[in-house]
Amino acid sequence: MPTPWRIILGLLAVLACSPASAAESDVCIIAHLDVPIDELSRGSILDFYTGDIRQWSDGSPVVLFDQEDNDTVRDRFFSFLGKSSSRMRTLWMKRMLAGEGEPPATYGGDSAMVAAVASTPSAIGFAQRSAVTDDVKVLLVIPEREP
Amino acid sequence: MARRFSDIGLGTKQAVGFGFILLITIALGFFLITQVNALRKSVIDVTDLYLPRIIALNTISQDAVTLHLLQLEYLRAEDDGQRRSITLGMSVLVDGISAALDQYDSLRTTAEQRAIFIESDREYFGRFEERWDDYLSASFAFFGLVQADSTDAAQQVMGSEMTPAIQGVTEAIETLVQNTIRESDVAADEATATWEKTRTVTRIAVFAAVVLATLMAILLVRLTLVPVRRLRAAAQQIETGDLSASVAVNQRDEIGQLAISFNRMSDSLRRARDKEAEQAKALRAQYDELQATLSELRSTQEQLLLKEKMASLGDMVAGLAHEINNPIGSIIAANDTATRATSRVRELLDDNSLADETRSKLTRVLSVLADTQGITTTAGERIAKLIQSLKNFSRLDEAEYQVVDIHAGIESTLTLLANRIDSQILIEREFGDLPRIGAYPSLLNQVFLNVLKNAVTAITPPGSIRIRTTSVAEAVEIEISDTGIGIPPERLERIFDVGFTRSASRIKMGSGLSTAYAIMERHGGEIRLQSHPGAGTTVYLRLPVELRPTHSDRPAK
Repeated sequence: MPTPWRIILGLLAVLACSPASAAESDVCIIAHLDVPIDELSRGSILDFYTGDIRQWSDGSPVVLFDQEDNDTVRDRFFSFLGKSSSRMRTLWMKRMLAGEGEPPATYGGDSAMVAAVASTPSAIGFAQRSAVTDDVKVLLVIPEREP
Repeated sequence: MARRFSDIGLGTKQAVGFGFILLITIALGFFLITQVNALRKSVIDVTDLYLPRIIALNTISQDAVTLHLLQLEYLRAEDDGQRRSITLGMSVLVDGISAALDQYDSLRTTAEQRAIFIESDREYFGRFEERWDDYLSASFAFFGLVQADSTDAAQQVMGSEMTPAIQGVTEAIETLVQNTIRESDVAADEATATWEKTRTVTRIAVFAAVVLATLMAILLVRLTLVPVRRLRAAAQQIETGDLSASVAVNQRDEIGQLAISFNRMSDSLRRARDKEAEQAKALRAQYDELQATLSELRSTQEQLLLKEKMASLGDMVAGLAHEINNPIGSIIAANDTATRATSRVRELLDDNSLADETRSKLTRVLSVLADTQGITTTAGERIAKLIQSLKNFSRLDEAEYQVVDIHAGIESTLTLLANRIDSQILIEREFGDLPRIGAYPSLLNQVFLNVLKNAVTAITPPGSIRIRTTSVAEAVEIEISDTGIGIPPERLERIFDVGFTRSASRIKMGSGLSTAYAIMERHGGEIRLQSHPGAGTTVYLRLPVELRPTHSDRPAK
């Protein structure tokens, strides 16, 4: 087999593996291992974050986490929900001022988020897959943005 | 297929004309509706999209600033009660901002659907959202610090983050509002442009429609009214009797066909009139011919009547002459015998045997007897001569064509008229040396009788009648002049007319000159009259020596 063909085959192999490597940058919706469900729909996640649903199916209160200073992941997450960060925060401000609940606690970086979710029962958050460990439950993977 | 407009039917012409105008009107109508719709859209864009957007953005801006002010108050609040009421106010404001944002979203969706949303808006709105997000993020931190009683830190967050953020928010909204105003201005400008365009196009279309309608009207008038007027003029010409009228045809529509029919009708009329005129002419000729024939017939009839009259007169005269001849013969014979007897008696007286007295008596008686016999002889001879003249005049026994002595005829006529000729009327005879001519003697004698009778009648004695005869080449001329009253000119004109008399009720002889004319004509001769009233009349007769046959020389019946 001549050398050029090997190179071409090698490149093809790299291209074939790229989805796997891209999956590392996927944003995952994660939850504490104890939450009573294994997956969530987009609508349900939106309902949690807008405060329309505040309890898990077993009655335990939902604890929402947010990131800060990680615009890439946050943008992916909020645009997946169809609400901009400012609109979401406006809602949270409304709720807070109306005394209906505190805004989500924030954590700087994916690892801090994963650690916080793992250590807080009933917690739900989001992080890049690369930072996700077995200590948390992945409820939904936000797919790659369509070109 | 190239057809001239003038050849199209009238209905089609009108349909084309009005259809054209209708088309322009419809097109204008559609154009106006379209433009009005565009205007309406522009107005709706301004009132339904741009104005609410500006209002929503202003609401957000004002509420955000007020929210910031309330947060400052919240920081300075002295107790929880005050804080709760401020929090309530802030909640209402955030509610308003949220609602305004929702409204802005829906307006943006509508604008995007109508393709009037500008990309720069998205960029400016993105900047606003960013600043608003920063402000909210700082606000959460601020409230957290306030609740943790870290007032100084909270104040610091407010000063370093929230105030610049709220300024950014108002600036971004200001930019957005300006942008929206610009957009609405563009929409307004578009509306104005649309209005201007509509006005211009409408003006042009109305002007074009007016011009076209006028042109169409002129064309229709030219193609309909003008030929119709020409037709009317031609019809009036025909009405006044001028059948040469015709209409120039240069179109093939209904009017053109009408003009062609009209011209045909005019031609037919003209031909009919010409034919009629010819017939009238022929009829007139026939009438004249018939009139001439009638006149001739009348003349012939009169001649026949005259002839018949003469014939019966002749018969009578002949009978009379015959009847008189015999007794006259007897008288003459008896008288002869008586004369001879008287001579014998005279001889016997000479023998002196008788007494002288007796002899002288007898001699006296014989003398008377001899005188009587002489008178009887003279009278008898005279009667015999008269009878001869009568027979001579009437020529009853020789009425046919023969060689005639003119002078003998004249003399016979004079003899017949002798008793009517006054002794004071002198008959002058200037007889030339005439050849004997071929003629109908009884007819010629009739002419002489009529002419001489007229002459005698015209003269109031004393007077004279001059009869002059001359011989010219192949003809004889007889001139009979009188010293009578003459004939007035107006009478002279009609002197030879048949039956010219004052009484038309029955046939009369009148002057008898018409008969004389007819007889002269029959002989191939001629008769002329010359008269001066008061000075007398001269009749000229001319007869050819040889009777030439004429058209009227028909066998006498």
